[in-house]
Amino acid sequence: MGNWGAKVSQKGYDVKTCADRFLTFSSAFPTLKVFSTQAVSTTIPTSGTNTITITHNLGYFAPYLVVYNGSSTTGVGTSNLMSDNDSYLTTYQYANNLQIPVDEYFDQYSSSQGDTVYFTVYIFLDKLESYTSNIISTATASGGSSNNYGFKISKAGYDVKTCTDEQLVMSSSFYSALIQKKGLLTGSSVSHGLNYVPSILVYEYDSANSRIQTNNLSLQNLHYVTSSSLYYDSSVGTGDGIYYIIFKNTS
Amino acid sequence: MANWGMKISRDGINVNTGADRDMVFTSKYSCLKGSLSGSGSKSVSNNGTVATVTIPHSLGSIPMVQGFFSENNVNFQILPYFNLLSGGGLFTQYHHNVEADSTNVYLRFQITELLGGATNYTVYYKYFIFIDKGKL
Repeated sequence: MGNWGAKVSQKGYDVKTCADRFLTFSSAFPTLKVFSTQAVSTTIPTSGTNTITITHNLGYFAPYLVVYNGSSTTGVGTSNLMSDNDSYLTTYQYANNLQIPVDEYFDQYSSSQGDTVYFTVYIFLDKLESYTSNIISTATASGGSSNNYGFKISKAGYDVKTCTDEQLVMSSSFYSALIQKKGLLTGSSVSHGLNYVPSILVYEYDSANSRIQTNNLSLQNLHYVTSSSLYYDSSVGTGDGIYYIIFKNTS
Repeated sequence: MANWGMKISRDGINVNTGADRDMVFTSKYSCLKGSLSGSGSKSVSNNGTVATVTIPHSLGSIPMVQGFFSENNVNFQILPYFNLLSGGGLFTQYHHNVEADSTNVYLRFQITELLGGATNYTVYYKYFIFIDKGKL
């Protein structure tokens, strides 16, 4: 395979010399692609569970993020990532849908039964299959450049010249979620080779129920990431492993 | 809408016939666009007091955000983190989470050891703030 391709650095970095993580785009590294975004809501029941079901029909496990935007009692001015004000959000993703069960104890110290609760849900297109990108450069030097070059691509239906930053598919003014490695970890660790602590996403795999999930058990002590590896404790949760994405991003 | 755009397949995938999920990039689907990232440490009292790291973002809307924390600046875990641990005669309650409003991102850390422990603990954190909205 020839050494061909394209890459775009973030504003302020020299595309020829900067480390991988300072690229906005490279044809050598997949980016996390947003399949759908949705605002959904339900009510906190007095008993039992109200389940929000979002059908995606992807036919496979895909990464996702759920933000709790608040309730009738708390208002919607402050949002929590993957939690209410008291504990983890429980979420289940099956091959064709994502479920958010809301029971009578949801946000119990901040909201009330009967409240409407609001969520923003991101489902990504990328399949959680095994994949590893090449590592081209993990240099710590930024390769800084004062030249203000770049590119931007707007979402369908928006004028790239006038749309807001949020309405862009990609822009070299911002960093992207470049994927270093992804897959199912059933052993105790997987190395990533980046030599720094990267950003990650993890989901517990529940083979008996054919789903991936987040809940109190699945994230407590189940994982941690270092500058060399992602670690998994199979004694916690289902023991079936974790689906993970390791990004090139760090801070 | 005209059928325009660009897509680039990953190594070994035919760009004309490959699935969208196998593209390195396709303008059909947007990417998360990172605006700010950073790291630091915060002293957290071992008495249940919430220690808050406030990060202004100037986005004017509630953003998507990701956070991580570590007790030793080596092993990082995803936020949120709610846990009750027992070990070494201590019972430790953790309540760490990530919040955001249209002005700031808040990393909140709370530690309570019910049977002693140090007066304060240092918590190390990392965060990633995106242009993409956390509240649609």
